Amino acid sequence: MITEKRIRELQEKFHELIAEIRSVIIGHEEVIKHVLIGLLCGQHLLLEGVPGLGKTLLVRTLGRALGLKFARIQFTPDLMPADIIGTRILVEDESGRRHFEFARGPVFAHLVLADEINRATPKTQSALLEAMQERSITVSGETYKLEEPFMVLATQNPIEMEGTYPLPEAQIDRFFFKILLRYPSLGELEEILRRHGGGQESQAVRQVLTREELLEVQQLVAQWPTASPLRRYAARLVYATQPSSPDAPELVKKYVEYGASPRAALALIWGAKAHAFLSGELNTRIADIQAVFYPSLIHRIIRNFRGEAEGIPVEQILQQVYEQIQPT
Amino acid sequence: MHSFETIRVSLERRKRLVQGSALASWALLGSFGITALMLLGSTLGIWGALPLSAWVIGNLLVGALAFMVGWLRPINTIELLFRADRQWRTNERLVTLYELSLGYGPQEFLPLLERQLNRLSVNAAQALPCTSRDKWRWVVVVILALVCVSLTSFVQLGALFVRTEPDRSGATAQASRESQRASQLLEWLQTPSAELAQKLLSVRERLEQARAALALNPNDPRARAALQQLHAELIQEQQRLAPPLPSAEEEQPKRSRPESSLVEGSPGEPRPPQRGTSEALALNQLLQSLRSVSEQAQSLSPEELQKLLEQLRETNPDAAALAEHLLQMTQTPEEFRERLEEILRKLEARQALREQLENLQRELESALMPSEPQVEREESPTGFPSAMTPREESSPQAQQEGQQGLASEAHGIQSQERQEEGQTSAGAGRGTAPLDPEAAQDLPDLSQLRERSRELSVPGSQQDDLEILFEIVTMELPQGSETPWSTTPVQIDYGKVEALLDMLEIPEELRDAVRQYFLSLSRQR
Repeated sequence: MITEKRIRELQEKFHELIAEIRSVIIGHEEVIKHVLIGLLCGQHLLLEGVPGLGKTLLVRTLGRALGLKFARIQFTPDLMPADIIGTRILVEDESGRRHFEFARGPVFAHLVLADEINRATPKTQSALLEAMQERSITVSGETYKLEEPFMVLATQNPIEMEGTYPLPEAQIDRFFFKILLRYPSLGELEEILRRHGGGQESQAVRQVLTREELLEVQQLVAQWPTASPLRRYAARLVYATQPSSPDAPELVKKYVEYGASPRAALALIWGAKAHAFLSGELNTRIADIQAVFYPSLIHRIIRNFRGEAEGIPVEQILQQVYEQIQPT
Repeated sequence: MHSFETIRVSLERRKRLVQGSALASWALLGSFGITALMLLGSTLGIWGALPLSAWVIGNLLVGALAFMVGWLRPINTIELLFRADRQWRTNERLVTLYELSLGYGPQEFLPLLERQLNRLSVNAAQALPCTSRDKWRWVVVVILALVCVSLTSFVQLGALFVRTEPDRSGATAQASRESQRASQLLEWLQTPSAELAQKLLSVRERLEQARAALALNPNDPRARAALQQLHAELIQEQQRLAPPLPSAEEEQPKRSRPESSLVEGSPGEPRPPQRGTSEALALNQLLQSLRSVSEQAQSLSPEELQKLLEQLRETNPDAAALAEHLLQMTQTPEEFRERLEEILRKLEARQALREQLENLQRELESALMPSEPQVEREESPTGFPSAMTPREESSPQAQQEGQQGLASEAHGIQSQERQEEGQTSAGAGRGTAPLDPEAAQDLPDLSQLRERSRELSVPGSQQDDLEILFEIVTMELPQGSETPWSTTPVQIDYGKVEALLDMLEIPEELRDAVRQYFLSLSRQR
């Protein structure tokens, strides 16, 4: 039986976690919150931003603050699936007998940073994505379950698209959120220079949450009370991204080829629950749904040729959906 | 401090109130709109006036009914609480709590959320305010109600205006006048004819007594005074027999109509005797007009009958008024004709009585005048016996003749049939032959006739009055005597019979037979 006191304790720990991360990461409040939401939901995130914005630092700091095992995979065109999931290698024991032994890849971690995932070949990408979906890997007929919590944070570089292998839409849909990292403001940049201008790696990060506590919070968030009107609101938002929907705004009808999938609606509700938890509420609110609307849907809208040709941003389309669909 | 249940109940009550109010405003908007249109129609004269109480009560009932329907309409509590959450900015706690209370979701959170809600201070009216549309709709309802009140006041003022200016009232006022006139005539016709006939009989008896006295002594002052008195009484009876004058209100619009009224002169004034002829003419015209209507009514459709009445209104307004009144009072054409026939019978009785009265007047005037030659009396234009001449008064034969003449008025026509040999038609003779003195002595005098009639009658019985009448005309003549008397008594007796026929409970078929008999006598005259 969960008590309010316990809920408040866990919420307080997450506030400490946020504070700990913010002690390292300058700015990016929304990004930190969305990353934590993904963590609370046990889902995988896609971070998109130019190099040098602190994506790796963010994930590493998060791992340290949570006391979780962290792995970083730099995706390159010659990266093989075995480089990610591991491979069977021939080893010789003390008696001289040789046998195959599975050498676990970097995916066997709690937090996996898949850096520039679009630079690897689709075969390698799909190996990672399969692991993300199944939360287990199968090598030579033997299945290895990944340890919970398991979370992949993949990054993409929106520039330098030459020689890259953009993720297929179906693969992208498996990411819970797509988080866009903006360039820091002038003040934030100055603060970055102040804190990290000495050339040190980063200041020590204190662990504020154990793995068990994280799993407890994940379970708690999964059953966070959410009223039916909120579910209806989330469904209407997602449904309005379909060009065939009667509620679809003009931009959707004009520039969208495929709208968001039902997985997007799930992401909305789960993300809203986690957002409510982080906000210190005891129930999900409309505001929570609205807070996770963009990261939940932005990578799930597929523009048509006209939309791409005219360069209509997905954010603009979603903005119209957000404004047109009101909670009822 | 509010518990969740208290909040929910107050919100539901507020929601029902808003629902009822909105529905009532819509209903009243429609009903007041219809009322305003109906009142506008009343103002323009398209249809009748709509009473204030009727439309006020009607609209109130509509509003109350609509409010009740709105109040009882089912409520979506989830939607209601979600809306309250949005209005109160309670972060969807109410709706979440409600669903948790229904058993949906993790029940561990139920007490936690309830504790949060206990710190909430709420106002249901703030959560579910009256929308501006509702307010404007109520404003329109109030405006429409005021318009309806104004229109009602306008219609009532218009009615007052119409009442004060009868010249503008048009057909309605004329119809009202006609109805009043018809009622007046019908009331006049209700005066019992039998009473008038009895009075005339009494006058005749006294006249004969006075004439007998004058025959003995032409300068008898008591007899002359009695004759003067009888003259005054006859004038009074003449006024009673005359149709009533239209009232002053009715009289004014008739001034422009030629021959429109039965009589001339202002109401209440005594009718001068010289106007009797015009009154008789008017009464005759009324009778003829109604008879014409009665005859044509059988073959005319209701529309054609209305046209006929319109034409009649120009020539004889009283006849038109009576016919129109009867038409409105009856349900079927047959009933209308029956009532009209009844009126006709009464009018004929009046006419007959009037003729008798005029005869009496002439006789009385003759009695009061100095003696004239016998020839003048015989050649009276009416054919009725006039007063005795001085020569007759002075001679015993004349005295006997006068006595017999008095008796003959009560005896009727059969005596005349015996007198005129070979003449079988009743009432055709004049009764001028000299009377045999012996036979005259055998005749009963008037007092004897009266005594005989009293013996035959049962006091208070109309049937007995009729029997007396027949006894008089059939039994009291001396056998084998000559009959020098005039036929005038038949006229008097016929009027009495007709009046009695109207009142006695005689079967219809017998009534017609009796009436036809007396009508045949009247025509032969």
